[in-house]
Formats: sequence, structure tokens, C-alpha cells
Amino acid sequence: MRPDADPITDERVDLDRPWVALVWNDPINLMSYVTFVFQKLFGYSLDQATALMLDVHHKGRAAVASGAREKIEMDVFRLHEHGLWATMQQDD
Amino acid sequence: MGWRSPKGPLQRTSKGVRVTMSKPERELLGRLLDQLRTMLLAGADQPNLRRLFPPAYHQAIDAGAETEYQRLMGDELVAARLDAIDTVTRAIDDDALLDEAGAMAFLRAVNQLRLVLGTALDLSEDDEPALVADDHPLAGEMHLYHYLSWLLEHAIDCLS
Repeated sequence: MRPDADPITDERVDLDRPWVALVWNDPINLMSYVTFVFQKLFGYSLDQATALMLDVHHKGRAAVASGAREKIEMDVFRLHEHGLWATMQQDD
Repeated sequence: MGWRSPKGPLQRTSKGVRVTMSKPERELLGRLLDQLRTMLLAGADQPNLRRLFPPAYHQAIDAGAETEYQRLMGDELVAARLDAIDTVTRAIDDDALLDEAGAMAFLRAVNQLRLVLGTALDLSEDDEPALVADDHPLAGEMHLYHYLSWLLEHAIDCLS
């Protein structure tokens, strides 16, 4: 058996780890717009949304939502719809 | 740009967000939205549209999931973008009142234009690009980009 086919160690079949939606820094989206979208899509307060936006700006990325894969896929779609650079992956 | 209304075209009222633009501003924004609509209908896989259709998964890690995401969501994303464009086109044509969803569509549509223009201008700095001289080869595009940034900031202020 190939090591990566082992259902115990293959991370892609680990259903327990939640998925996260990551937003990445980009040179075009306005900081005020990113903050506003975080508030509108996820119900963050202005302070929370601003902190996340600053994480994106200074650290290059921030996790803005976590949960089941289907939910995060919809979150990523809505972030894309609003023009943000978002990806999803299973939490480390 | 003297045709800009100094306070910005959006105004929050008790019935919704009113859009009031001068004729030149309405024509300019309408023309930009028409161009983007034409581009979107021609296909999402154009270099200047790449920021409108980012990958959802890291290709190297999960190429299969990315293909599946694009298959399921790609057309829906195009439809959502066209829908926002249509909402704004209607609103600026007749000084309409926008409800909450319409106001968000306004933000998305203006941001789409910024993303496509910014990509075409190959902007790579976080800061707004400096104003360029009128004889710069891309002066027209840069002025448009600054106008769209101003319009988006104004819309966010109005809706916050």
C-alpha cells in the first residue's frame, strides 16, 4: 500500500479538521472596501473587520471563516463575488 | 473632473439609496459597465479578468477540487457579475432608489471595474498610484482608476 493511500494518515480524508476561508493581500482592493465586505458577509463588528483587514494587509493573509467544507465553499464564492482574493483549505 | 458631483452621487434616504449623476458621469459609468458586460459575455478566461475569477483551492495541492469548484461555481460567478452590472445600469439610467441588495450590487460593480482596470494597468503597489501627467500614455486609464476609487470610497461612506 502506498503511504498516501492510508486512510488514517491521508489528510484529505480527515473529516474532523474544519476548513478555513483565507483572504490574501492584493494590490488593488481598497482597505475600506475589504473591511466593509468582512462586516457585510460575516457580521463582524467594525473593529473585528478592521483587525482582519490589517492582518491581510500586513501578514499577507487572514482566516476569515471556518467550518464545514460546504459552508466554506459558499463563503469563498461570496468573497469571490465581491472581488476578494480568497482560497480555502483544511485547518492546520 | 468638473462633472463629478462634489458630494458624490449616492445619498441615503429613508426609502433607500438614491443615485443622482450628471449626464457625463452617467454616460461614462454606463459605457464602462457596457464594456465589462461585453468582456464577461466573451468568456471569463481573459487575462484582464483574472482578478474576477480567482482559484478557490491551491492548484498544486488540490487540482481536482479546483476543477470541480470551477465547474460548479464558474457560470454562477459570471451570472452574479452580470447581475450587478445590470442593477447599476438600470439605477444610473433613471436616478433610481436602491435597496440594500441594490446598494451592495453598486459596490460590487464599481469594484469589478476597478479590478479589471487595475489589472490592465498592471498595478502592483498597495498604495493608490500617483496622479500622472496628462500627456502620460495611460493618463486616461489612470484618471478613470482614480475616479472609480473615489466613487467606491464614497459609496462605502454612504452605506456605512
